[in-house]
Amino acid sequence: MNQVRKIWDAPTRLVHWALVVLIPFSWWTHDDHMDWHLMSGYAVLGLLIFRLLWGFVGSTTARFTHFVRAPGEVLGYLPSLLTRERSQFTGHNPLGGWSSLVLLFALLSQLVSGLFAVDVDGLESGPLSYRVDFDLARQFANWHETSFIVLQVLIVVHIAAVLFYLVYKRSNLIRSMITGSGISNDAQPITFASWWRIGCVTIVAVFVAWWVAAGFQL
Amino acid sequence: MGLAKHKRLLLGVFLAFTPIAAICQSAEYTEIIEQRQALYREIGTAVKAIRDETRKSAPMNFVIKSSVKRIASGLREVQPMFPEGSGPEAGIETKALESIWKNKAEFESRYTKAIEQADKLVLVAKQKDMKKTRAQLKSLGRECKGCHDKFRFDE
Repeated sequence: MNQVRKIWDAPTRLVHWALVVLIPFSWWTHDDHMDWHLMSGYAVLGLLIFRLLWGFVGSTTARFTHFVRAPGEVLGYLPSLLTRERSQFTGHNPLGGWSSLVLLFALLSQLVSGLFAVDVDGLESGPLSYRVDFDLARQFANWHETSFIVLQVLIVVHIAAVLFYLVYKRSNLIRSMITGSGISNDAQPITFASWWRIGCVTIVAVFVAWWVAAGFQL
Repeated sequence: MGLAKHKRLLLGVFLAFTPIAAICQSAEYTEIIEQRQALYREIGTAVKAIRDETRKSAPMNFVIKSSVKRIASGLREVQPMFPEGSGPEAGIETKALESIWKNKAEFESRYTKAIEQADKLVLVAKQKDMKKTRAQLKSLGRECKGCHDKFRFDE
């Protein structure tokens, strides 16, 4: 029974689209606008902390326990990729769940490496680079570069997958991520987090991001 | 027949020594290129140390004092370490661009300006005012960057 229902809550969508804006912005500013690059990085850090916490205490479809499935289930899902039928899952399908997790992990690697990195002249550095020596901070910078290539590849794969679902499987995931609503054919209940919960997690995420940006010095 | 053998031997000796000569030549530049790279790493380390200290709530002045001096002395040591032939043509990994030797006068004048800024940093740091130290480090950084943009390979 196909029905249109709300699948994604506002915070999950907001985090997603904010990343869509900030990741290219970070890329653009990394060469000559290091101040903006750092600010953008702190914002991404806040968003990532929020999203990771949201994976534990957020709405049903945002939770890791909801979308990270056993490898067997992922393998079982693969044959259905070839059929043009709509996905049987509300929220992430088993493969999409893992793809989200991998993207989050790549973003985490990007952030951590950037926090400790220093440029070749020692003139620009992440807020935690004072905790490591120059050579190690340079290695973090190399990691930051490699990590970004990996992130770019994953983003291209992600976009390709979304287009595949749009064209081949006639499932508009982009619209769902904007409006929050999508067609679902199961009656699995979804609990949406309350505003006070959104507020609490936001405060924690902003505080931690700010604390890291200040180099753990309050 | 005997002569031909002799010639072959000579040729063999000649061929054997050609690569050695070439290696010796590049070894000469290897040393200087590696030395200047090591010095730049030291300068980078000193710049980072100053930045790190000026950002701390309780900066350690002795670190800043030794670092600013290291930058000023390091720049003086590196400046004469760009002999002709130690650029990309040396066949050793170096970011030094050919433009250094094509515009040697500009390279030298920029280098002198950077040393002036480094000397000024030594003086400013003595005031133990972190804001001023940071600002002067920025001025030095601009000189560094201006030169790098023109004469260093950008990855």
